[in-house]
Amino acid sequence: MNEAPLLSLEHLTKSFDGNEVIRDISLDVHRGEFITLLGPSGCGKTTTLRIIAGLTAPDSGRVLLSGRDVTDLVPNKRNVNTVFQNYALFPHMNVERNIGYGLRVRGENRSEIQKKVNHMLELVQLSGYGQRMPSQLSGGQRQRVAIARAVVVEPDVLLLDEPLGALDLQLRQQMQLELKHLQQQLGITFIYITHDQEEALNMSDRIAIMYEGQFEQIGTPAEIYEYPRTRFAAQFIGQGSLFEGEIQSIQGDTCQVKLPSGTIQATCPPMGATIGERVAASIHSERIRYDIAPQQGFNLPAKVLSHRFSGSMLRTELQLNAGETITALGMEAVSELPPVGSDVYIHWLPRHCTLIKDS
Amino acid sequence: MRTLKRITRGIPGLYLLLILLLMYLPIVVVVAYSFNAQPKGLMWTGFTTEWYPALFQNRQIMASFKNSLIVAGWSCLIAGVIGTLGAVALSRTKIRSAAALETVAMLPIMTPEIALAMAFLVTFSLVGLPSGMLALVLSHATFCIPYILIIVRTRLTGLNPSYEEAARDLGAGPVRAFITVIVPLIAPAILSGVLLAFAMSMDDVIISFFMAGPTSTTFPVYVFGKLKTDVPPTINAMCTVTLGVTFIAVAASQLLRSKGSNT
Repeated sequence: MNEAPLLSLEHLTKSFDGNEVIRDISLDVHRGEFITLLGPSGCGKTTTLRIIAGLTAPDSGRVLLSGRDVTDLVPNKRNVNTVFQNYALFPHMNVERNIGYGLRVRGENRSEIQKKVNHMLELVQLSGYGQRMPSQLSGGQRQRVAIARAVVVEPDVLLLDEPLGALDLQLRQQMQLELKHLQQQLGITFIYITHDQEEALNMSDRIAIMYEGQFEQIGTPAEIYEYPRTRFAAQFIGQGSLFEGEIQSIQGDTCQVKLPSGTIQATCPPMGATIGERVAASIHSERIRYDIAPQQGFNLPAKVLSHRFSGSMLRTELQLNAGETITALGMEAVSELPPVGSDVYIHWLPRHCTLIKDS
Repeated sequence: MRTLKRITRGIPGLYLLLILLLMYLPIVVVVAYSFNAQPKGLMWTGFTTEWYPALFQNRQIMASFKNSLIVAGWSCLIAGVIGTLGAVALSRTKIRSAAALETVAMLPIMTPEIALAMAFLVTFSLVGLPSGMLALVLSHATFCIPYILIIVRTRLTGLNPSYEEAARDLGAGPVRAFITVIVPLIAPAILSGVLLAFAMSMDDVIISFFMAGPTSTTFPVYVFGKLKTDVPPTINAMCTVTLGVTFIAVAASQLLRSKGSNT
């Protein structure tokens, strides 16, 4: 990643009617990267995408494409293409004409267009569907046409705005794999928008978590999952608990944190920590263990409230001394676990628990 | 109780029937009497279709009918272009000024026709344009614009903006995106507006009466003139033909509008 970034966003801001939608965001995207903007609806991710596409002008900041300032360039002059949320397939053109639209606009000759269109149809597994109208296609097929139409003009960057949002779960999971495969095959840089963390973790090289018009954290799926840097990131990614506490003592990489319900151990923040500092401790539910007998390290007393099945996991609600409840996810059979009502001790590996400093 | 209920339930239907009867009975009478062997009066003397060939053999009638078609054709073409572009411009204007502009654009429909006719007469004589075909076409185009504008604008409002954005995104300039994507998508609305305007132009009397020169009498003006002197035996057949042309245009317009709103 030493080469210059393909796309750079520099201090972008945007307001609509006095409402700040994007507040000073910057991002470097490298060639061939699959980067996801992940965030709840209304966090500004679609606006960011539209600024990159040239469909919305930022109030301030710059967009650089291969080092060239394209901030004020109209959309048809940027080598960036978009797969729209509703696909926006031209309803009056058949599949072939939809895919060939960008090539026709560029004035390529007919046989060349036909060749490229056929190749794209094959690539998205729609050979034989060229004469169909968009209204005769299923949701998944429309989505493929939308991707083919955007990819056939060989953009530097492909922008995808929740492309799987309208599909049902099974199809979505299948399309995730296909999209990732297609991206690797084509080597095109993808900027992908979703509010679905699973989708983001599954497909991306890097994820930018977006909240209220800002990037909360940018990192690989593993970094984001293991080391959330902000409270929002910790709560948004995975299922887990967040405890407010105070650093009591530090031993090497491990911090002792005092909570209202007891003391726990966690990995110290990368920028270091001082004794007495207020922190939030983040732990994923599947890493919380509990037992009737106290364990080595630390022990947080709790009571078992309930066991419930949740997908392939068993979800256990535990109540701490100070009254708050936390959820543990496990794969054990109910009969192997302490029954409802029993007093248990919660523990986990210190490296599984991340500390977030107040910013 | 039950019978009373049954009667009251029938009242809205009956009322509707009465209204429709009042609206359409005169039309039905005209159409029926166009097949009456007795040319004048209300006596039904037998069925005939002789008035129709007579109608088509009458030079004056056919000339006026041709004039009407020419005027309606040209004015609809001009109004179609202006109205469509106006609707596109309105759809891209800030909300508040668009509402004001739209009201202004609708004025020709709301102005009493006689006032509009006088206005045309004064304006055209000021610029030295004599009565005749050109004056007819220009005046008709003016009052046709609002019909096209409002129908096209409604369609544009319902059109997903991402179609145009997708075209721009794929490399089309604004004009190319408009011609290849927007126009085909709003074409049914444009045609619907044009057909409605065509019907309006075809049956216009007042403005045409003021604008028509000696050789450019339109069909409705001719009929109007004939009624004052001697009522020709073909009058009912004439009305039926006009009715038919107008009805077909309006029906096609409606059909296109409902079809176009599907995408």
